[in-house]
Amino acid sequence: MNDIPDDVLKKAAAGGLESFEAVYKSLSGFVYNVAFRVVNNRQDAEEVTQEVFLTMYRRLKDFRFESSFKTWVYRITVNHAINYGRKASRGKNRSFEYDDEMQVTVTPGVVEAEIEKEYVNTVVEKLLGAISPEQKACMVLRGMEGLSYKQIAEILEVNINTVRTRLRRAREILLSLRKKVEYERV
Amino acid sequence: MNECRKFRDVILTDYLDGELDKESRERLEAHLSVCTACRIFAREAKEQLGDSFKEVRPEPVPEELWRNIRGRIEAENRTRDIAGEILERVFKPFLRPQLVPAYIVFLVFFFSGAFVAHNRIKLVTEIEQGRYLMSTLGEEASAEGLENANLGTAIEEYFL
Repeated sequence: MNDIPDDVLKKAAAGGLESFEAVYKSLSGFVYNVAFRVVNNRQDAEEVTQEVFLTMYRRLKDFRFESSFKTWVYRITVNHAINYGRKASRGKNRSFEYDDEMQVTVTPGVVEAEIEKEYVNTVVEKLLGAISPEQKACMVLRGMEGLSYKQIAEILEVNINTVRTRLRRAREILLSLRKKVEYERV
Repeated sequence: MNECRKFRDVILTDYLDGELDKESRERLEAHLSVCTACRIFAREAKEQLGDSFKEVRPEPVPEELWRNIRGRIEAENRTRDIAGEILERVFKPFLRPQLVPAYIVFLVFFFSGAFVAHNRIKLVTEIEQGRYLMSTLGEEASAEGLENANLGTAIEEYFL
C-alpha cells in the first residue's frame, strides 16, 4: 500500500473529490485484490471495492490522523469483504473439486514458467473457495500483504490466538486439497 | 503422538510465518531432528503452502470502477446539498435576532398552556375516579341492604 501525503488525505477528508481520486489511485489495487481473494469473484469484488471507497469518503472526515491510516483502510476493506463473503456463501456448501477449469490451456509461444504461474493462480483461486471468509482474510493479509499476526489481530479486532487458529485451520484444509490437486494432476 | 500434534500446529502457523521466538524454534528443531514424520510434514507444508500467495498475480482493477464510485459520491453530495438547501429555505426566515422576544413569549404561553391543560386533565381524571368509586360503593351498599332485608324476613319467618 502506497503512502499518501497527509495534505492529500486532509483535502480528501474535507470532501475534495480530486484528492480522493488520488487516494483511490493509491489504494484501489490493494482494496480490489483483497476483496477479490476474500469474495473469490470479480463482480462481487467490484461491489465490495465500491462500498469500501464510499465508506472511506463518508468517514474520512472523522478519521483521527494520529492513528494508522493503513490499519484503518485494511480494517474497512477486510470487514466489508468478510461481510459480503458471508452473505454470498450463506446456504452454499464450501467445497472443492478438481475440474476442467483448472486445466490451463497451453498457448504456443507462452513459456512454461507462465503456464505454471497461470496454474498457481487458478489453483489458489479454487482453494480459497474452500475456506471461510474469516480464514481467507487471515490468509490474504498474511500471504499477500505479509502482515504479522499482531497486525492482523489489530485489523480484525480479534485475539492473536484467533488469528493463529484461523490460519492453522485454513492451512490444514489447503494442505489436504493441494495434495489432492497434485495427485489428480499427475 | 500428542506432542507431534502440538508441534504440527506450530509448524502450520508460527514456523511457516517466521513468527517463532528463538527458544520455541530451538525446541521445534530438536523435535524435528528426532521425529521423521514431523520432519516430512514440515517439509511438505513449506513446499505446498510456503509461497503460494506470493506467486499469485495481482488482479487488474477494472477501469470503470472509479467512474462508478465518483458517480455515487456525486449523487450523494447532490442529495445532501438539496436536503441542506430545503432546510435552509424553510428555517432561515425564522432564524432572525429580531424574532427572539416573540419566541420567548410563545414559549411562555406554550408552557403555561401545557401546565393548565395537564392540571385540568388530572382534575377530570380524579373526578371520574371519584364518581366510579361512588357508584361501585353505592351498588355494594344496595346489594347488602337487600340481602339483610331478605335474611331478616327469613329469620322472622323461621321464628314465627
